[in-house]
Order: sequence, then structure tokens, then C-alpha cells
Amino acid sequence: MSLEIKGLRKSYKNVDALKSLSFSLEPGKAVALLGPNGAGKSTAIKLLVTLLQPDGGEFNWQGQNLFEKPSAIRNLLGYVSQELAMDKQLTGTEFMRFCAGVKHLHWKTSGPRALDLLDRMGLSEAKDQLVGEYSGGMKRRLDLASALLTEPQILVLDEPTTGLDVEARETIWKLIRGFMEQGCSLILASHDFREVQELTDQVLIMEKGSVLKEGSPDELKSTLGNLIIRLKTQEFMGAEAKTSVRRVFEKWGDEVTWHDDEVFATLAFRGSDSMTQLQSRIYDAMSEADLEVYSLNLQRPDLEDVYRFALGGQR
Amino acid sequence: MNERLMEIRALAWRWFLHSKRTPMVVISGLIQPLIWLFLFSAVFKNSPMRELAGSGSYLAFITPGALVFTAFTAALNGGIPILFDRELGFLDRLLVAPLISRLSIIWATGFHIFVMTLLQCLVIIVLTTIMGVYIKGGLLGGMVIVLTLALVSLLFTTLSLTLAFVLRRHFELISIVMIISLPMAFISTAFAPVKYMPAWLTWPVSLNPVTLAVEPLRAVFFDSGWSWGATIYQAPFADMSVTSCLVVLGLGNLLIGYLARGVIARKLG
Repeated sequence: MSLEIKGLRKSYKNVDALKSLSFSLEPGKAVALLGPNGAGKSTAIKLLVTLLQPDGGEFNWQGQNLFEKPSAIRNLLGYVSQELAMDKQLTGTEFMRFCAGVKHLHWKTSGPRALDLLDRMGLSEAKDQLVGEYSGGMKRRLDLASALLTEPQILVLDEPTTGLDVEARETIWKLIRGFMEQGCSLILASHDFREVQELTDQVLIMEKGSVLKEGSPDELKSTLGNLIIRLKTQEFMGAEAKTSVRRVFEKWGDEVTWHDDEVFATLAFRGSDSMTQLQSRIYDAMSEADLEVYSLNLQRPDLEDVYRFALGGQR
Repeated sequence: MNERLMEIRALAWRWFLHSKRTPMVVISGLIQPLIWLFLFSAVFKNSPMRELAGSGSYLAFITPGALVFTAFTAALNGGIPILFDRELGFLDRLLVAPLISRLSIIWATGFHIFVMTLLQCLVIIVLTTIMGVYIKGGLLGGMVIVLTLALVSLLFTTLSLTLAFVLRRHFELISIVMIISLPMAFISTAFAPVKYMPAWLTWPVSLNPVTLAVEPLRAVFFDSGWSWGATIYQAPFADMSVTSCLVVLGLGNLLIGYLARGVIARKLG
């Protein structure tokens, strides 16, 4: 059973928080909403989990638009919000029991699953400890465990690893991947590129309520070309220095795409040259223009480059 | 178990765990009425008020007021945890849960406040009984006390919860509670009978829900021969009986419930 979101939109007074969002999601697959603050990610998530009412759009599941029946959406989803909104006065087990109760699960039957989830989240030893005494990572894992209590078909995560150290983040990613292997689909809002790369099959890059680019991480990276060039002619490059470099590369035509960057002269290179060949070409061109190379970095495009080029505008 | 009951039970259970983990909140709710009871009764020990009130002692006279005040204060503070839940994002967690009705959040909070109020009132009744204040109205009188406290609790819990959804921050609600509490207690018959008050005050005193609750309690506390229809105090608009006081309180509940339902349903979606 696949989920199809069509034309989802929301405005606040005269501001279009989300202009139009559409995507489809197969079981066990993941989609990421990637964008800066104010891009419309959180609005989209709040609409999907029924915390906000959409101005338009469809949430199609099994041939039905569930926006007409929000309670059906709530039964379908597990949700982990950006805020660590936990009840600090309950223990881990009590928190799970509370969540089971509000989801109409009898503790007799859901209790073993809850304890198993706590165990898989590495919280067995802390299960009788007050949540207020948990670390940030433990709270995140407990939050995730509570979202998985009903065995949801779709997991909606809004920046689930914010504020966690690398080890804690990797633990959570591993756990999420495990649940996805069991058929759980994932909708992820994040501005953590590695998280998006690790977990998702489809990425929607958003800005000011619109989707700028979408595709799989590999498809998106391939749109940038073969290599990314980051060049400096001095330690701190001013506008004048960047203009000089830009003039050098204007001669290369469609082979490169210029990107405005605060620190480097950054370009996406579409040609077929190898790294070594490209490096020589750059040194030659710079020497011809009588410009010094202070630093040069060549690398394959990553998701962050796709994001920066999409948001920063291509020149 | 019915799913609606399951969710109310889970939501109320959380509040009871809070009360268990923070007993100071429950105890502090008891301290103020107890201070009033024992300090006021000491201050007014030799005043002629005790004779006019017909209750034998000033301590006895203000015991019903202390019970109503306990219920009133607990109920009026009832919206504060909900406002904290709103501020901290915990309410969103409840709103994305597949609740049969989001109003279960309100029912559970009201139930918790009422049970805690009854426990606090029970402590006051035990203490005042030890000090010689007895409920003379029998078992039926006891039931009137519970019913009256339930009506007061429900009325002010509904008001407080409505404010919790209208206001943005908890300190706004705390300020309103502080502003409302004292006038509500003093513009009532909790501390003095209506006949001691100037004429202009008799209208607000008689319409004050605290008076409408204190007077029936006073009747069943001190009159072994109390009856539903007998006049217990003279309001400027009518002679009030236990029945009429409870009916007015009930109607007040219906009115505020009707108004609150719209506000809360709009906020909860």
C-alpha cells in the first residue's frame, strides 16, 4: 500500500507557508524534506500528522483521501516531533504505558512489545528511571519507541536527531533502518545531510514553501555533474577576487556552473575530465590569468552541494 | 474496556502520577484553607458572628467555606498543567494520538482535580471533626457536600481549562487565578453571613458561586433537620434553598460548559 500526497498547501494570513507539496511513498521507503528554517518542512509535517488543517491537498491511502478522516491518519502514523516533549515525571515504562493507553492498547498485550522496544532502544536498564533523568539521546530513543508502539505503517520524524552526538545519531539511524526493513515507511524532515543520505530514497529540497528539486540522492547529485571545484586565491576572498576567478571560468562555457559562496569560488564541473586532468586545467587557466591558487579542493558532488546549489541560485 | 474510557483513564493516570511524585502541590493546596480555618477562627473566636451564624463557633462557621475554597482553588489552578503541556509541546503529542475524542483530555483533567479535591476536603473534614465540628445532616447531607463540591470543581475547572486554551503562557493564567481568588472568597458568605454586609454587596455575594456552594454545605453541616426546600439564605432576588442553590450551580455549569465546549473544540480541532 503506497501513500500519495497531492498538492498539499497551507497559508497563514497572507503568507504561503506551503505552496504545493506532492510525493508518493512505497512501503519500506523513505522521503526526506530538506530545507533551511522557514522552508515549509515543519508546516508540511504538522499537516501530515493532523496538527494543522490544510487549505488544500490530498492524503491518499488505499484509494481514500484521509484528510477527510483525520483519525484514520492518526491510527496510521507514528510521530516524533522536533521538540523533546516528554513527561519528565514519568519513568520510561510509565511513559510507554501512558502512550499505549492513549492509543487504546491494553497494557497486557502491548506491554511486552513496549518492553521489547525499550530493550531495542537500549533503555532496558533505565526503564524504571524518571524520564527527567534521561540524557537527550535517551529521550530521543524513548520518543521513537513510543512512536513505534502501535507498529505504524508510516513513521514521521521531524529532525529526530537534533542535538545528539554522532554515536547517538548513528544508533537511532540504525534502529530506524531496522524498522524500515520490516515495511515501515518514513517521512523525514531534516537539515542534516548525512541523516538524509543515510535514511532516504527520495529527497525534496524546499525553500519558502516550494519544492525546488526532487529525486533520489544519486539523481540529484548527478544533476550537478562530475566534480565540485572549491577554489581560493587568498585566505579571505573578497568580491573582487571572486569576480576575477569567475572571469577565468566564464571561458569554460557550459562545462561549469558558478555558485555564489561566502568562502570559496565554487563551481560544479560537468566535463568528463578526471580529477588530475581537471586540476592541471585549473592551474593552467589560473596561471594564464595571472592569479595565484591559494587552495584548491576537488570532490564528487554530495547532497550538501546539491542543496547549496539549489538554494544559492545557479549563475 | 471502551476505547473512550481507556484514553480518559490513561490521561488521568498521568495526572495522578504527577500528584504522587509532587505531593507538595497537593499539600500546598491544603495549607491555605487550613491556615484560613485556624487563623480566622482564632482571630474571630470572641466575635458575635458565631452566635448569629448559628453554628456554635467561628471555626464551625467557616469550615464549609474552607471546603468550597479548597475545591475552588484546586479547580481554578487546573488549567495550569495543560498550559505547561501546550508550552512544552506535550499537548501536540496528545493531539496526534488517535483519541476517540480530544475532549477526553478535559474529562481526565477534571476527574483528577475532583478526586484530589475530595481527598483534600476529606483531610479538612477529619481535622475539623477532631476539633468538634460535626456534620449533622447525615448520609444524605454528606452526599450534598460531595455533589456541591463536584459542581464547584466542575464549574471552575471548565473555566480554568478554557482559559488554558485561550491564553498563551502559564503566568497569564496564574495572574488571573490570583486576581479572581481573593474577591471570590471575600465577596461570598464563606467568612461572614450576608446579613452583615452592606446592601450594595448582597447582589454580588448572592450570585457568587462560592456563596451558592457554601450555604447548602452550611445547612447540611449544622442543621440535622435540613430539608431540600427550606430557605437557607435570603438573596435580594429570591429566598434560596439547598435545591435552588444546587440548581443555579448546575445551570452555571451548563452555561459555562456550553461556552467552553465551543472554545476548547475550536482550539483542539
